[in-house]
Amino acid sequence: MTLDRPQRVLRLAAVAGLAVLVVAPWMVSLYKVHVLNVLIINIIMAISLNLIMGYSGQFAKANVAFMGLGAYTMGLLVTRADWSFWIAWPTGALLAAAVGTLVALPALRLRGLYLAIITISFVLIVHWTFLHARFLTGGASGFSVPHPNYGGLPIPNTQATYYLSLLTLLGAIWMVRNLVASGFGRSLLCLAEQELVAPALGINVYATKIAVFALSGLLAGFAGGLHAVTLQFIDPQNFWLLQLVIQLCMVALGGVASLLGSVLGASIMTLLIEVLRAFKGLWEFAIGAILLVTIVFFPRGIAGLIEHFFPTLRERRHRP
Amino acid sequence: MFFDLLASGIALGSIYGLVALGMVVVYKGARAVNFAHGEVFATAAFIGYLLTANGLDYWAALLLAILVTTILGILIERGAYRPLADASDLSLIIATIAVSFMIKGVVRTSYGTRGDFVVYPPIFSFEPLIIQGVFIQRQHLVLGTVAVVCMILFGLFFALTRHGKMMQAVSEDKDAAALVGINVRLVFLWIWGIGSLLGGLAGVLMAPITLVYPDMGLSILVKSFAAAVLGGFDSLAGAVIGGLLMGIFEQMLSGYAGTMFQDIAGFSVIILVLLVRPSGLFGSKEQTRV
Repeated sequence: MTLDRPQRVLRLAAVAGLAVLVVAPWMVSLYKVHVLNVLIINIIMAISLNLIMGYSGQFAKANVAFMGLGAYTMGLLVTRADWSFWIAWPTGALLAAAVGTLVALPALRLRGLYLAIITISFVLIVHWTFLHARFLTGGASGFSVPHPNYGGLPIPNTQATYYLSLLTLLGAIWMVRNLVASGFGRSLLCLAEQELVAPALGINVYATKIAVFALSGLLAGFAGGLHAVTLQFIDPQNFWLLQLVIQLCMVALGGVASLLGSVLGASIMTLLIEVLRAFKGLWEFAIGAILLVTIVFFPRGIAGLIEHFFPTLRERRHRP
Repeated sequence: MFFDLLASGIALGSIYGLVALGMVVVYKGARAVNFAHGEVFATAAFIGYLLTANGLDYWAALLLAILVTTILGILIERGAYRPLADASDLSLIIATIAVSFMIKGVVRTSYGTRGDFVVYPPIFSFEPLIIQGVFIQRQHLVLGTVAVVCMILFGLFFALTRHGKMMQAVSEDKDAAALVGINVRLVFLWIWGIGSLLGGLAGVLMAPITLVYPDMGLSILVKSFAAAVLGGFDSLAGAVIGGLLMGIFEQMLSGYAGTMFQDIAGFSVIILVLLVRPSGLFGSKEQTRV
């Protein structure tokens, strides 16, 4: 496969970006390493949300709850049951995926607005449970989580966790890239574009939806566990509507059904939030204004804008 | 206790019904779910607070506040709805969520140094009325009555007046309405204006019995959403009845099971209704076409 010029530039930019992310933890302050780590986790969350909202066109917004389930499961298993992080983390992600499958069941019947409403309600119920099941979750004050045990790894914990997030992100990108380029990806495209036609083409709508909810939940669950060890703390407020809207912003701003969009959207939003953190009212207004301007003027987000000028950069949804 | 809870449930429920009504008017008329509706409610409450705190009479403050929210609704129509009228549902949902954040940001900034919560001056004494052994708060009685009267007035406006009929025509089929000479764009402005007026009215009515705070919009949004979903989302009467049922259910739940369950009443109703009967009690069935 030959690459044309924009494609080569994009590939170069991706490699350069990755190189920067690999060396960054040794060049900048610990706080900035922390911010970058959060940024990487946000990209994973944006990819997870984009998988369900963009690639498969389902209005489901429960990912923040899956993230919370991944974080709480991991945290509780490590702090209460003395599990190793390396077993507790995937367990949390698998639980999130399992719950994702459950949430997919009503999604088989509901579409559009109603799916959005029921999944938002699910987020609120999970958040309410985190707040009120105090004997288990510590309620509104949350609880601390230790660093994972990196054994004899000769680098500090903060950097080690950072690299763990980076590896997870690369895994997520690899998975979604292959997924959307496969036959399964084509089924997703059909779901997103014309759901009623899908059964006529021999696509098993139920199985496809359940699979995509589970995968999206799995990614979010992994991201949740990482989030907990990065902050070394689990706070129920991090798995609430505000977070949901921020992630929605990342996807809408970056571009739906696009990996490039997920990366750009998540990066811009994370940095913006970091800059405006001290001014809560202004911050909310800025998020709202950015989201509105994007939706009105660039409905396909930044990635859509880039693809408009360089059509060869459009992601291929299937292999011929 | 049952009848006390029933009375406060009906009073609060009439507010939820009013908020839900505003939402359903916009949904029915403009096919858009206004996620900024809760913030409209919160804006009205805050403006009402500012005016009464500066010595204005409660009812004058109410009128001014709903005037402001009506204008706010019209601005939302112009800024976020009209440019997206032909876009996907997802775009519209995201746009109104965006607007809700912008409003919330402005309101939070306007609180300035007042702190996170302000107390609305009560309109009536706190001493409850006792009718046939049932405790009824005067404020509850007044706000319930005003809410019901306004809902009846709105119903009459919608069913009998020329403007109401034009709104009905547009919500039925906007292309056909345009063909018979109705200025559809103008009607959309009214629809959003009136929807926000209803939300703002509820905000000023409710403010004296709750605290006023920048995030108050969210919980009312969830509850009135639940009311609208329960009623079927495209039925005006359904929204009102859904609101009343929601208020009663919530008060019973917090009275008998504990106040922490009050928060969960809204979304558990939403989930149950959508699982069991997605079209609600009075809604029309959704049709799907390729």
